Order: sequence, then structure tokens, then C-alpha cells
Amino acid sequence: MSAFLEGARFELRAAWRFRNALLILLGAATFYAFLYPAPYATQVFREMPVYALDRDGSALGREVLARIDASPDVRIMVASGDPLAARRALAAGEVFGIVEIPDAFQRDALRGRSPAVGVFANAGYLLGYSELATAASAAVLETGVALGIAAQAGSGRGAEAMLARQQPIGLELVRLYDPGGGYASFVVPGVLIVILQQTMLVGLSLLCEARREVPERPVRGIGSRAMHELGRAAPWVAIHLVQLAVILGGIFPLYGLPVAGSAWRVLPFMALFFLAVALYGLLVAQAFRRAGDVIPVLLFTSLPIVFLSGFSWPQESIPEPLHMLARLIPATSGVEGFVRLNQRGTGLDAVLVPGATLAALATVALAVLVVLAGRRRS
Amino acid sequence: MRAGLARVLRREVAAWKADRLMPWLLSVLPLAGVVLVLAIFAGRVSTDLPVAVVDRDDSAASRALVARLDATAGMRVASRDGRMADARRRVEQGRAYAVIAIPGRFEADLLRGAMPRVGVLLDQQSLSTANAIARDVQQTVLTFGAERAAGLDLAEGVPPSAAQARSAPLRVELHPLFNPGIDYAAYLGLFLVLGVLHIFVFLHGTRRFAAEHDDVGAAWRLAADGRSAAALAGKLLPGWIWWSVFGVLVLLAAQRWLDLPPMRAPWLYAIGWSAMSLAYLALGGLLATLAQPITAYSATSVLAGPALAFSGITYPLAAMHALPRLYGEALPVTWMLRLQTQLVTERVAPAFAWPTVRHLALMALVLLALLAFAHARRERGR
Repeated sequence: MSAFLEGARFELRAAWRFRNALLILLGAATFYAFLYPAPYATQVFREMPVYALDRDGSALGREVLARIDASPDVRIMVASGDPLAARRALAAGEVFGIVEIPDAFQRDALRGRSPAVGVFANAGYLLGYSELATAASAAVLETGVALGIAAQAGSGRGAEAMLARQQPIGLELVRLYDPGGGYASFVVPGVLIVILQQTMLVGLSLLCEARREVPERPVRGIGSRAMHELGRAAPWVAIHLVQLAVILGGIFPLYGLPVAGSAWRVLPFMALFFLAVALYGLLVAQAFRRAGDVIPVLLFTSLPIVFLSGFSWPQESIPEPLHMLARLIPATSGVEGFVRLNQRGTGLDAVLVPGATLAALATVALAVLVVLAGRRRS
Repeated sequence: MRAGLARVLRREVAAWKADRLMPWLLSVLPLAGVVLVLAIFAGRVSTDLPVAVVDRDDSAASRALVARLDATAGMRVASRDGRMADARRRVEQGRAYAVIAIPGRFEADLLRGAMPRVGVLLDQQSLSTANAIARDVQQTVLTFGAERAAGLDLAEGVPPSAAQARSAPLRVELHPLFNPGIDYAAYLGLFLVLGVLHIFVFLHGTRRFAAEHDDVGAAWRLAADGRSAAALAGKLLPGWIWWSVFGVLVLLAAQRWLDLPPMRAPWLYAIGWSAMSLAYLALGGLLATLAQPITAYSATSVLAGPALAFSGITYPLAAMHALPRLYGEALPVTWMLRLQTQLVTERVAPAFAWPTVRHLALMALVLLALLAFAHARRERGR
């Protein structure tokens, strides 16, 4: 126990010598957690501007356009029959896409020629493209069903039978865990875990110079050395658990981010995550000689880690070697476990694999730290 | 002035050589970051996303529908569960992104025109995959239903063309412009490459000016004969030249690797990138002039780390509240990403991209002026 307390005291003394690092360890994660969701605070992109290129000018064409305009995601900014003006508006970025009602649209529909509404959207912005494609498809489908039912008017079928004939299978989409489909609710929980990992890694590495200035008492025996290293990690685990509580209790409600899980399940898992990251951080810190080198080397890693962790780009689509590399990064298992427990509200049985992975990573890091500490003292 | 500038330049190049981390920050780590980002998106599109199916009917029609769903490129049926609870557990454990539930009496209801309802439970916590699966399921189920309706019409003696028209009186033709394959590498990968490079440019500015902090600028000032212009130009020029050339080469190589069609005005792209590099070198220098090195590095990470989130690439600027939108528009990387979209993705005529380049150049000039002002003020204080 004395080795554990000695380890904790050693780290706190080093941090007190270099208060810039202490500030990062105490508050950077909370600061980033407040800053990062700001651009996504509106959650969904409403009223996306589109150009209606109506080359028919018929009642049916106007009906389709009115249904598209009625979608909360899309707003028809301009309507004209001039294709050049539509292209100019798209090139100038005034609209995200063009909906084209072709010439003779109504006549072809009445003649049973299945005319097509063209949707030209900028797929360089996948979110906007997806929203416009969905809104336009739904509007055309609705209009088509209404048209099909009208065509069956003389068939002698009832209203329900006509609808079933026109649309034989119904589809019911149920959106689990985040019914609003908000962008912040999707991206922030995963990014939060990466932020917590990266700020802890940077903070602990920044202490590399300060640690050399703090006298270290000799610790004998593998068991005592292990307790000493665990003690060094303990203050940072505790501080980050407090930051997590502040983020979940203050910042999540501030941005209206949904939480389905119970803190009593989330916190033990996150304590394991923080322990793995802290031991990793103590290990990474040994690679640095100067505090001034830490941020230049570690800053860029956040971007690839976000995409390796599998919440924004599916793990199934990541090449296998990188998938294995991602498993060695605590944030990957941290994101999996946190999202399942906190966002999906699952039980601890759903996080057995990420939990075991984090425990294995923490054990390996601890073993390496103990070996290095032994060498340093000998 | 010229002699002072030459001395500061020689001093700066010598300092690069003396800094053991410099080769890593100038080339090895940026290249590693770029290769890693491109490798993550090597698959380019997300395919075979696992879904769980609960088929309560197990009829010929339901099995045919499941086979159709499995045949789509976007998803694969990873499991057929008898109980809904088992399928949901797969979603909770991250082994499936959605549950597709086919009701009992599906085929019977289909035949008697009672419109059976297929349920799709989507893991909305994986927004992009949920949207892709929803789109695929919707299209497959609609096509399957339309074929069934057309089959019934044919059985009643309706001619084939009329039967087809009745099942789909109107159609939608989607034309994904500029990115026809919905290619994530071309869309997101290239933006991330630029994002990674901009971090290193910014850090370079901070690092080179922070290096002068400890010796209180005396040797630097003396080398420049006390002239601020020579001191700043000599400090910025090597980094500006390096990042202008290296950055453009890496970006063009990434575009070539992604097999993107050539730009109409690559020179405009190079000018834009060069202006952005100068802006970030000046901004890094400004932070290191105003603050202690570690504080300057921290401020650099605050500005560079979340910059892509504010740039309007993953979430449009038009959808943001005023404050984050203004902040995003104040970042040079936002404008460089816009220029990249215009020239690489949309391949617009140079006339449409010029205002973006002008904006970048103006930002570089403003930041240079602020750096010169801060530097002169600090020199006066000594």
C-alpha cells in the first residue's frame, strides 16, 4: 500500500512542478467536450436549399415539387425552367442540388410511361446528398402511390385494397437509441472518448521533464513496483472520472445529447478505460525527453484514431491490419463500451469483449512499466 | 536588409538541422498520417454491413425477400434469429447494425392484398451506416413489392408494359454529382489528408517561433540587424517554401492515388495551399510570440485539433448556429477545404474558385500583419 501511495505522491509532485500540464490534465477534456459539439448543436440540417428545374410546368410536376418542399429537410429556393440558371446556382454553391421535372412529365405519367424525376445533388457533401435523395424519393413515391390509386378508381376495389395493390409491402423504420437522428448524438459520444484519451496522453507525456526533477524512492520487488506504477496512474484515473461526471452531468444535457445508460454501469467501465490510458500514457511519456516535443508528435494522431475506432467509419470497412492496430488503442474499446453502456443503455454483459481488451492492454502496459522501472533502478 | 535576411535564413536552416525532431515533423510523421488516413478508407465504400433478420413467416416469399436483402452490396444478412430479443442483443453488442423483422403470415397477407409490414430496427447510434441500410432496405422492399404487384396484374391479363407502369407510375433517378460512386476516400479521405497536413504546418510556425523564446531573441535580432522585417521573413521563408512544395506534392500524390480526375486549375490549388500555409505559419508564430511555448502549443492544439469539425465538411456551415459558423469561417483551413471541394471534387471553372483563393490570401496577410505587430511590440518591450 505504501508503494501505491508513494507512486501517487510522485506523480502529483511532478504535476505540481509543471502546472501547465496539470491544467491540461485537470480541465482540457472538459473544455474540448464543451467546444467540440458546438458546430453540431443544431443536430440536423434543416431547410437545405435546392433548385426546382420544372421543364413541364404541369399540375403533377408542381405537386411533386410541393411534396419535396414540404419535407422539413429541404427548401425549394428557386423554381424555373432554365437549366443553365440551375447549373450556375449549383456551381456557385447557392443550392445543394437540382430536382428536375422533365418535359411532358404529366402526359407520360397519364400514358403509363413511368416518367422519372431527376435528382442532381452534390455527393461531395454526403449528408446533404443523402437528405435530398431521401426527401425526393419519398415525395415521388407518395405522388406515385396517389396516382396509382386514382388509376384503379374504376376497378371496384376498396380504398385499402387499392393502396395494398399499389404498395403491396409496408415498411416501418424504427430508429433505436437516438430517435431524432441527430448528428451530435451520433458523433459526440465517440469523439468524447478519443478526447479523454488524447488529453490524458498529452498531459502525462508533458510531465516527462518534471518527473526527472522529482526524487524517487527505491521500490523493491515486482509486486511493490507494480503497486507503485498503479499508484502513479491512480490520481489521473480519479481526475478523469470527475471530468467524465461533469461532462455527462453538465455538457450532455447542455447540448441535449441523449443518455440511456446508468452511471453505475458506465463509471466502472470508464475507470478501467482510464486505467488503461493512464498506464499507456506513463509508458508513452518515457519516449519523450522534452515537454516541448509532446504536442507536435501526438496532436495529429487524434484524426486517424477517430476513424480507426469504428464509430464514424464501420469497422467492417477498415482493412484487417489496421483493424488489429486499432485494437491496440484503448480508445477503440473505450468507444465501443461507452456507446453501448451510455447511449444504448445495455447491461455490462454487452461490454465483456471491450472490457477484457482494456484489461489486457492495461496489464501489458503495467508489465512493461514494471520492467522499465526495474531496469532504471538497477 | 538583404545581409540581415541572409543571416537569419542561414541561422534558421542551421536550427532545423540541429533540431533532432525536425525531420520527423517535416516529413516522416506527416507522411505517416497521410498514409494511415488513406489506408483507413482503402475500401472506399462501405459494403457488407451486417444485419440480423427475424423471419417469423419462413415462407417462400419471405425467404426470397431475405435473399434479395442479402444480395445488396451495402449489407449482408449476418444471422437469422428466431427471437427478436436475440437479434436485438446482436445490435447491442455491435454485431449487427439493424434488425429486419418479417411478420408471420407475410406471404399469405401479400397474396390477399393485406399489405404486410416489414419492420426495420436501426442502430441510429451508427448514423451513417443506419442511413445506408435504411436506403438499401427501402429500395429492396419497394422493388420486391412492385414486382409482386406487377405479377398479380399480369395474372389478371394486364399487358407487361402496363403492369410495370402501374406498379411504379413515377420513378426517381438519382445523379450523385462529383462523386458518382459515393466514394468515402475521395470525399472524406482527401479532406482528412489536408487536415493532417495543416496540423503540421501550424505546429511548424509555433515551434520555430517558440524556439526563440528562451534566448529572448537576442541572437535572432542581432542576426537581422535589428530589423523586424528581416527577422520575420528569414524565420518564415524556409518553412513557407518547404510546406508549399511538400504539401502540394503530397496532396497531388494523394489525389492521384485515389484516381481522381485531373483539376482544371492545379496552379490555383497550389496558390491556395501556399496562402493557407503562410497563414498558419504566421498564426503559429503569433501564438508563440504572445505566450510561453507550452501555452502556445496548447493554443495550437485547441485551434488545430477540432478545426475540421468547424470547417463545414462533415456538417454543413449553413446548418450551424451563428457563433460556431463564424468561428469556422475564421479558420483558414475551412477556406482551403472549400477550395479543394471546388477544384478537386466539383471541378469548377477557375473564375468560381478565385474568390476563395483571394480570401485565403487576405487571411495570410492579416495574420502576417498581426505577427509583425506582436513581434514589434515585444521587441520594444525589451
